[in-house]
Amino acid sequence: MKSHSLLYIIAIVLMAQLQACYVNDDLKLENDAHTNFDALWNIVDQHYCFFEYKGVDWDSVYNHYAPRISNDMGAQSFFNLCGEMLATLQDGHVNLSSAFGSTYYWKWFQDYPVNYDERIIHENYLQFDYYMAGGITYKKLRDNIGYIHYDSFNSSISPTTLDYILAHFTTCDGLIIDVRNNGGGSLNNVEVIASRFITEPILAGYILHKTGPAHSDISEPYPFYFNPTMEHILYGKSVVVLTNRHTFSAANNFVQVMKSLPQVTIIGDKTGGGSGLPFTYNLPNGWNIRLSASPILDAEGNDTEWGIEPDIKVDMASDAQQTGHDAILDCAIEHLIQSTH
Amino acid sequence: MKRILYILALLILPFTALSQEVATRPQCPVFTAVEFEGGGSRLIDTYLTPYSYSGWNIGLNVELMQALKPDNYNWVWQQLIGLNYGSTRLSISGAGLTIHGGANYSFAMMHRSNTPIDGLQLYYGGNISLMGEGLENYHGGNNPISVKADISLGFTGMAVYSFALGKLPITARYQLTLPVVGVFAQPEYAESYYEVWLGNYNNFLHCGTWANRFDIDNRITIDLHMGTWALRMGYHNRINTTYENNNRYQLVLHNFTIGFAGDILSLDYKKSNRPIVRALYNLP
Repeated sequence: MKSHSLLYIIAIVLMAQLQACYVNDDLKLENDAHTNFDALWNIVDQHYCFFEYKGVDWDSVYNHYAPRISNDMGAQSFFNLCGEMLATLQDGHVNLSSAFGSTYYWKWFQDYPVNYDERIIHENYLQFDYYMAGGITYKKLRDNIGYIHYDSFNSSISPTTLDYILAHFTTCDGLIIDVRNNGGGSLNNVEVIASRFITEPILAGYILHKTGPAHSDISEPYPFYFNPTMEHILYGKSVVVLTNRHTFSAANNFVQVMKSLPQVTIIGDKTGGGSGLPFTYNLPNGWNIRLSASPILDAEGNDTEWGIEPDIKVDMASDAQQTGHDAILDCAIEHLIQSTH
Repeated sequence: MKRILYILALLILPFTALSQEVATRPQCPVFTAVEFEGGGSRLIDTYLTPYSYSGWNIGLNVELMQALKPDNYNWVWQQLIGLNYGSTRLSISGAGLTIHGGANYSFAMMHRSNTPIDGLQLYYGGNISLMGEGLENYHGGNNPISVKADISLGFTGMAVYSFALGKLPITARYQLTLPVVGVFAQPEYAESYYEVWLGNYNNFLHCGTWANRFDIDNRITIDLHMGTWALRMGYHNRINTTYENNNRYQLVLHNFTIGFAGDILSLDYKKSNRPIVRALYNLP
């Protein structure tokens, strides 16, 4: 009995020593410019998913920018320099956010025509008389064509609202879905809307993700499917989706899915891309870095990070714009009239 | 009328026989403790951000124990139910915000042994535990949340020492719980929960061993007896660690506890003259 008790005590003491298995390997950090710069560079290095696709040499980017960092530089100068470094990724999903602002990479649409003027549409096509529901502006246009403008996939739309909107257009000969200037939002809303234009399950695309810190640590593509919402109203007639360079992120994903449908035509400008699902991380100083971490491919396995070409390329001519015409919308109306006759 | 009396007799007789048997059997009260705890927490989850956070944490624990008949009432079961919530900020700068909250449950079967040291008893056995913890980092993006879920089998043991300080009976206890094997959930390095929701469960569930997961739970309680109930004070330390898919997660809680504890006895236990076999306390 005595020896047993001694064993028990020894066992408990030994088990208590297991506390030593707890490893405290937290990085020892100083909250200065060098530390935060290295943290930023490392987070991007280990999590950004398009290095190989874009051919970015991130090590040389470090060698270029690191010597310009000093601990006595002001927060704003440091912030601007980091923003300059991040711009080398040419990615609208990469932002550095601080309490005083965010860095953005705008060139994905700055170097292209705007191709959208809300005032012209509201004044000359909708006559300032339209419905708005769930972030969607809609109306029957001339020649019995339905028109929907959805300006953000962050605006959630309920199935019931979508039923009302599509019921409004059941007698129309065709439908225009305008996602110009739609900067994206929730991918769930992509499925909510796109599933109204299919009658059987479709391959919507493939999703991948980083599996480790190396640039080549990317998972196998995982296929995902959209299913029709048979209990709700479906729209089976011709559809045109309008795009411009500011059609980005989730809106780019929507175009990617809609383009694969036989009754859908994409008209306008190339989309802005942004096919990487962004992740966000804190820097030691509390700033946030957002970056693309999980690419989404189209149903053919193509990456649409640089954008999607339309079926019919149209730019808004500046002279037509002055006379109140939206050349892209005009083209869509004409296309639908011709396809129904 | 006769038929009704007959039915009543049939209903009552078995209970009479049972109560006669029960009257000779020791009474095994359910030991119950309720603890409120508060203290500090430190966490790191590289899925959310690669730096550690620290802050405060509060919790509520319920402990139940009862002695069982086999081996002359030297087996006890113990159930622990816990809830916790905490708020943390980046350790280095105090910026950022990650909150965490969870629930855990464990069921243990322990054998107790007396020792040559008067008043010292040792308990040892196995346990099964379930744990769920959610973390939310307010930085946004598609990785604002990290969910931890785990079921495991392990060892637990405790040393209970009963003594008196003047006329005040005291029960001091140290308990160590150590999960050994189990299953836990963890998405891949930068896999979004959206992708998991789409159906990609590849490499999502993992067999947990000390190679990729280490949890430990240390509890010290001191019960100051006042009649059949006691004021409980103590310290509770919990560490949960996983290393999987190139992601590291660790939650460390250090809490001081206060609460009350006691054996739930039937109101007429003094009249019944049945012996009492308590699960934890060494009281008359």
